[in-house]
Amino acid sequence: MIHFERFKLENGLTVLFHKDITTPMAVVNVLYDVGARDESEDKTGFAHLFEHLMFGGSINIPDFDAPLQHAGGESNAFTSNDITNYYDVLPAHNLETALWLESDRMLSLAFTPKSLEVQRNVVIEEFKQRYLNQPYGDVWLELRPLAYRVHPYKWATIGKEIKHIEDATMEDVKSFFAKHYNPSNAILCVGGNFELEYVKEVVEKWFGEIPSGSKPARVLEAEPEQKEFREKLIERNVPADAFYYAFKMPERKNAGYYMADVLSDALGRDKSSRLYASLKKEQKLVSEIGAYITGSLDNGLLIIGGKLNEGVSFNMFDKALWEVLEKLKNEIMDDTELDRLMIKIRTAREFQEQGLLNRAMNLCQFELLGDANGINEEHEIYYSITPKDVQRMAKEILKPTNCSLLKVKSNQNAES
Amino acid sequence: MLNRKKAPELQNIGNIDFVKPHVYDITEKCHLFFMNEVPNDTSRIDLHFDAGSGLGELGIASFVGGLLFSGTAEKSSIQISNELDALGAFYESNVAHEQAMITVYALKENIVPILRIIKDAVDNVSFHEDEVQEMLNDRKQKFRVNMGKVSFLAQRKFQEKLLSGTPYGRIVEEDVYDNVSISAIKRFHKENYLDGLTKVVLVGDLNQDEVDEIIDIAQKNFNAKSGDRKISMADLIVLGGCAAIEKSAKDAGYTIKVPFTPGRMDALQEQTDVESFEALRPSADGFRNYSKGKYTFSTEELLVDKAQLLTLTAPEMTVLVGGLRVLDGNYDHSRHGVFTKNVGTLNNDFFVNLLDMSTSWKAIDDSQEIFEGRDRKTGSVKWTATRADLIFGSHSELRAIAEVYASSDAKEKFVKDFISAWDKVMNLDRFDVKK
Repeated sequence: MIHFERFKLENGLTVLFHKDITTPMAVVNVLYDVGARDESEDKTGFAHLFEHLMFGGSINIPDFDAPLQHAGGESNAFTSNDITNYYDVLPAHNLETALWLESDRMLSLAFTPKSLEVQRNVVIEEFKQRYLNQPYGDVWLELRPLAYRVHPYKWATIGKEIKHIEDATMEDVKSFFAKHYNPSNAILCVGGNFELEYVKEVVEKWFGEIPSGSKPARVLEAEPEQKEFREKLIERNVPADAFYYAFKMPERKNAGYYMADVLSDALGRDKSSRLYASLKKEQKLVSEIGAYITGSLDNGLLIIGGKLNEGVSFNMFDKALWEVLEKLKNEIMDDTELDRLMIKIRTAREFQEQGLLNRAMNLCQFELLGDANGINEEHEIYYSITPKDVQRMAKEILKPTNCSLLKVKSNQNAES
Repeated sequence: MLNRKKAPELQNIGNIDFVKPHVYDITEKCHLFFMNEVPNDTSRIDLHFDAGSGLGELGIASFVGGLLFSGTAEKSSIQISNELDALGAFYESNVAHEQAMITVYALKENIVPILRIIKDAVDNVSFHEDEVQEMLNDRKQKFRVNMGKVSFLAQRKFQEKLLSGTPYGRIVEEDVYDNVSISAIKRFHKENYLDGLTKVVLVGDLNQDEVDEIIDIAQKNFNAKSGDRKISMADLIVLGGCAAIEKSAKDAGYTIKVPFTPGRMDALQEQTDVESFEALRPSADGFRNYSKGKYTFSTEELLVDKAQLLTLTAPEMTVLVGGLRVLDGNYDHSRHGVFTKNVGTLNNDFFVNLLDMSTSWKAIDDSQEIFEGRDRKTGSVKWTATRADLIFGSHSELRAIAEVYASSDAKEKFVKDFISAWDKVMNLDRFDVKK
């Protein structure tokens, strides 16, 4: 059971406090309800670019990292298609340093041309190195538009193309900040060995005077139901043929989300999973294979991905894969298999909850879903899942008309 | 109004409560470090092995590390994964330069049975050919993927430019995946995993019974081996010699410990350049009264030559020959130079009888290699000897040394000097042992 207290400032900032008496460290986590899905299609990559700008100095503090490091702390952030999350970890008695820094960059950034220039270059370089200039790097740039036709999940957080980043102006940046970075669009979690009254006092002190702004309304076009099998083949200078089967799955708040998660575990979480045991160890068709879900808030994807062994064709593999999938749809799995999946889920959860930072982050994410207490209810949802549920979910989503297949063909052999 | 330009006051860290582990012996040198202050059900165990990538031929450490769960004679790799996953285990093996490590994350209630499965899998891994080949193919593919990443290339260049010539500068090329033998893999596993557990770190809110059980499982390997505790053939030969000398000295009335330092390694024929060893075959060895044939050099000259190759001083050479003769050390167990009635007892009879004026020495033939020593009074043959024996009576400098050892008050000195000369020879090639 993870205890927490919730209070709201007048400007709309939601604050969670999680008390942990076992650690001398404190965590300050700030989740902004903005991700790549909130970008306009002609200006993609902004949420992520913004994450970088947030470390480029705020209105009253020229440098974010140095004061935090002087306080014995460290910090990082990540951007997804759904959210942008910032966190600081530091010795508990220096908590105010983190609140000072986080509140000032929520108040306003410095918006210096130099900072924009530097971070733009950093992000462009990241785009090149991670998405263009490494084997299989552009897979998500190709797979997303194949699986999504309308919903903004069709572009990656790094952006659709480099040009959008290159063209980012100071005006764009300022309006993005004004729209999304304000107290009513954020959730703050403070974790550590404190008293609630103290936390209330210092949070009010640093965040209370930030103007409230308004929570931007999110109107996203829903992705229409997929009715046909989609397939794309790209040739790349990569050492092995690779495959990515993307199946649409229920959104985060749907109970089916958890069933799809368990389904992906059964397919390809561990070395005892069905795909690994059958397609790699028994039939020796692949060098690697796995299955996972994207964990998206809106309708996400269950991905089966891997690489073919030399001499194995996409068709041979495809046939063998569907046999495994059909079996899961046609025969109910036995309890031993489900027990094996559940103990893994339980073990993973215990380890995740061990870290104060993870707890703080997860509390913010569940609060975003509607109630931070979801963190304490989630495992019950998992444990209530039956073999029948998994089968039903398999039947519902593991079908060709719900599938987008990206094949990456190696052209290295052709060259040599 | 809040001054936002002013940073909140900082407080320095007063003190840190570092967790102090409980330490238990697994063996004399291998310890378990246990930390139990964990407020939840998680547990972690690390097994450290002296099996880092700095050891062995290039790539081998990493291959063996990747095959630790690839199956035993009893269980396939899938069975092992099934058993471990059924207990909710997250596990991995990592090979760093200095060491290799197996890490297990699990709920505390499962950590003991998991460790039992892991230990069995790692100790008894059979390195089935299919599994080895699969791992090599997978690794080769990953290597090719990595060669397309700038970070990987930069790391390689860095190692090459900055660390070349050091143990950290070794860089894997693709052919490594084609040129590894299963026997090399098995040997590395035997030497560095079966023999290589250096440390176990355990974290979790476990009770004493569970900790004891974990120590027990970790010990299994060591205990199982104590029945046929491994010793190299080279060490065994030397140890045998040392024990024999201790016994001989005891028979002579002196209880003295002959030093022994283990650590000599054996080499298989396949690791050996046979031709180069042929060149090392001795043509003569006066210490054991051996000669391959006739030479233009005299036998005693060849003895001295051998002695200087062994870096022996004249007294060391003298005492060694005298001792080896009475210990029946001739290569063919002939009686030449064995001037004693108590063969096998470490005494100075060789010198006493060599210098005995009542014996008259004469060559048995014109080659003047073998001599007979007759009693001047009766004319009966008392002893036989070679040139390598009699030189200690005929050469003035060596005779002086022989006279010292022949003295009736030098019996103990003889035993001690012999043992120290013996020890010197036994450790001549031990560059691995600190002097």
